[in-house]
Amino acid sequence: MCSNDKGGFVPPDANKLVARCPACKAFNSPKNIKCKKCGADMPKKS
Amino acid sequence: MFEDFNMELYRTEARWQEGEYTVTRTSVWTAPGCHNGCGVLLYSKNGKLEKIEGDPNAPFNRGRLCLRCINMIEQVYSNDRLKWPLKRVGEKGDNKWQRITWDEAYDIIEAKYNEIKDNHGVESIATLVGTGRNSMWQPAVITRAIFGSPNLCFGFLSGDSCYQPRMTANLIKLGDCVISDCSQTHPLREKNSEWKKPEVIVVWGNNPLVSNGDGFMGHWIVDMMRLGTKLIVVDPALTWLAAKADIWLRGRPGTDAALALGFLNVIINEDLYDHDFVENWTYGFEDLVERVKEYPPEKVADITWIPKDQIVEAARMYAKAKPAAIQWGLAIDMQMAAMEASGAITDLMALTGNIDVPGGNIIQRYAYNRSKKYGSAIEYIPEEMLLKRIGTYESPIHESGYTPFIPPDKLLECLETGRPYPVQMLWLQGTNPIANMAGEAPRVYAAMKKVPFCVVVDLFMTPSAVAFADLVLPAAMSVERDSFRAWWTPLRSIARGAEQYEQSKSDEEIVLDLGKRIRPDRFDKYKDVNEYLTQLLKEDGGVDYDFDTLVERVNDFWDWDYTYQKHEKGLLRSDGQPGFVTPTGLYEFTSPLFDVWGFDMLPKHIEPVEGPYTTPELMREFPLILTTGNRLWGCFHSEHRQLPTMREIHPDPMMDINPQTAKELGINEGDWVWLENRRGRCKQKARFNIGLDPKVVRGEHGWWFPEKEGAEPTLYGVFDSNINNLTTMGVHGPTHYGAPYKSTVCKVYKVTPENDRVSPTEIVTRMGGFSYAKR
Ligand code: SF4
Ligand SMILES: [Zn+2]
Repeated sequence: MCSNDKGGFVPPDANKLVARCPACKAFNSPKNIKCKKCGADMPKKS
Repeated sequence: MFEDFNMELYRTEARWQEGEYTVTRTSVWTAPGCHNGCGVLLYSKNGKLEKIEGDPNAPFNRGRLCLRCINMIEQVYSNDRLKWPLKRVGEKGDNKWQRITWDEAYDIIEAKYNEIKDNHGVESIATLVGTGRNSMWQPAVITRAIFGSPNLCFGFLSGDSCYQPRMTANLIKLGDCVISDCSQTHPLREKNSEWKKPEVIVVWGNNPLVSNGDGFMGHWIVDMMRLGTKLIVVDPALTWLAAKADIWLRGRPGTDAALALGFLNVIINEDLYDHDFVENWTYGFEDLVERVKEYPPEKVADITWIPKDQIVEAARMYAKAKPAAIQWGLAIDMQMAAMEASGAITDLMALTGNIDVPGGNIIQRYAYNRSKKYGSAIEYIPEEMLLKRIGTYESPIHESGYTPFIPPDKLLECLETGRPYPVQMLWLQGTNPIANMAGEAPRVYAAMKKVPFCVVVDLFMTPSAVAFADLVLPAAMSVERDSFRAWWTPLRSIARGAEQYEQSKSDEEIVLDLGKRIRPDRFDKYKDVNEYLTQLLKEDGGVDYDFDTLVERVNDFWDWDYTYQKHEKGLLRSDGQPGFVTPTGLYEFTSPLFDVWGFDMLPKHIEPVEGPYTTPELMREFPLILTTGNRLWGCFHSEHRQLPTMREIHPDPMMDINPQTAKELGINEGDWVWLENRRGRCKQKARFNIGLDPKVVRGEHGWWFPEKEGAEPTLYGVFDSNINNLTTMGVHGPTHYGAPYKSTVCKVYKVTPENDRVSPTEIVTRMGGFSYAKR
């Protein structure tokens, strides 16, 4: 498998770019503390 | 039908002796100057290349070569080639040089690097790269692994508008890149039993027979036509392929997103889409259905100037053909709506179920994942240094790592303002910005002049080298180097078939020489280029053989690349599950990423920034739409202008104009004319083109004149016919991608002795630029 960590032309890891709200499943920026759609707490990134 | 030649006549080993010739069977990349890597037979005598032929046993090109390779001897042994390292002795622009040794050149670079590192930080070194010349991963390694700077830039291409929008749209929507399947991914080509011929190919926004762009050989389309494939061609000009097409859609430049949305509208409304693929493999279809309601064919006809019936007919023809492929090109990237058009066209492939099916648009990765190209060596840059990338954090696509470049428009601002920090050194490898890719070239010229130290690695002395360089290093050509190519498939050797010209060095040798001096901890472990290439071939799960073995094999097709329906087989995702490499695991009609980044999640039309509907006032003075950058048979971008054979075919820069428009303007065919707009003007020769819309003119790019004086103010006449006197920098689409190189405005009038007293190059180099553009 090709990984972008070393510059391969595949997309970066989606988990680092989007986070799904546990309550309403909306896509959020991983930087969000609360879901932009329903206001639920977003899980903290480890 | 295609392999009907006597196989015994053509040999399959990598090297042999034929009379007095040593024959090397390998591939070239650039130079000669192009994106392909055709198989060649190099005939050399006493280390000198004497003739070159196409390799009939290379499945890629099957013995064919285009003018640039056929004429390569003239290029390799042109007396204009750079022969040894040169150090500037006069002022920048004086074109006065002193011959020095490689060691002296490296001493200067090393001293400069140390001084910058100590006093300014290595981030103030920025690299500009071009397209082609196979100097893609090498400058990336020099910049990141050797200098330690994170600032690598497409130089200076506004809006990263070459393949980055199309590739990124692919990567965001389905996690991988797709290309049209003309059987080229399999060694048996059409005889591969799984392959099917595309019933229809849509040739969209390029003239592949001339350009051979993006690793796609244009002649494959002719092969498909001979098998019965029908064509739809989207092009403002009547190309050879357009003339042979069932439907030629002559659109207004810069409206491809609207056209694609019109296609999507017809296909959805007439229920011509692939329900199985849409239901099982996609996300956001209902949103797309809503969006395309805004683009009925009547409205799309008004936007694109293509008759409504033709739009409907073409959409039906594409959707009903099973399979069908879209072969797309640069024009899609060079507009404000580059990302939007790229996304909408990718949606067409998905909606019709043509993704990764035989004869459709097949998913490709670099053979054996070998070529990291511009992304190479990024792993050497620590996080805190990545944070110093110029302009990157103003663009989510750049920040997130979808492109390995920093945004060129932002680098230009940085050179002009010194913010966030002044650039102390530019490294140019395989790019001649002011002659070729820089939009608003006079502005880029002024900005680049401000950089204290500049190194150029190239084949010939160029206007950019004369204007900016402190050091010029002579690069070797394809036939003189050992390297490999893996964009896309097969993995191909580039094996040396001739001795290097004078004291030129290959890009790989320059990487190792500099690496051993500046970062011995990283490069001393490689004895030579051969060992280094072996490491690149093998590392991170690559092939299990060394570079010499690749040279023996010549070509190696990766079975992953010719496996179809990879999303069903779990071949795409790292977890081995079926699906695509996207946040949803599905093909994404609506993009969650775009939502997170604050972009419109769905494709839309964006009007060109200058044009009849955005700037009607401006059109009174500049009534014509200007499109630029059509490719030439003999010249690749700004290359090849030194060669007599190429200049016999392309003696002068030509602009295309409809004869009716020309008549109204009192212009005869062959007249020199000015093309002019708010930013500047340039002169080219008028050529009548009956296929062009009377309201559209077309100008060639890349023109400079090696036969003219190199020193400023003449500077090889680089601004005299430079169409980029009229284009823009800093004007791009909402995603930071896509610049209107192909859709701006101008007026056209005859050159007369009265209006031609001072040359444009003198205006730029001596008088501070065109007055209306002075800042
Ligand atoms: S497309 Fe033309 S220039 Fe490019 S490698 Fe093939 S023959 Fe050479
Ligand atoms: Zn929520």
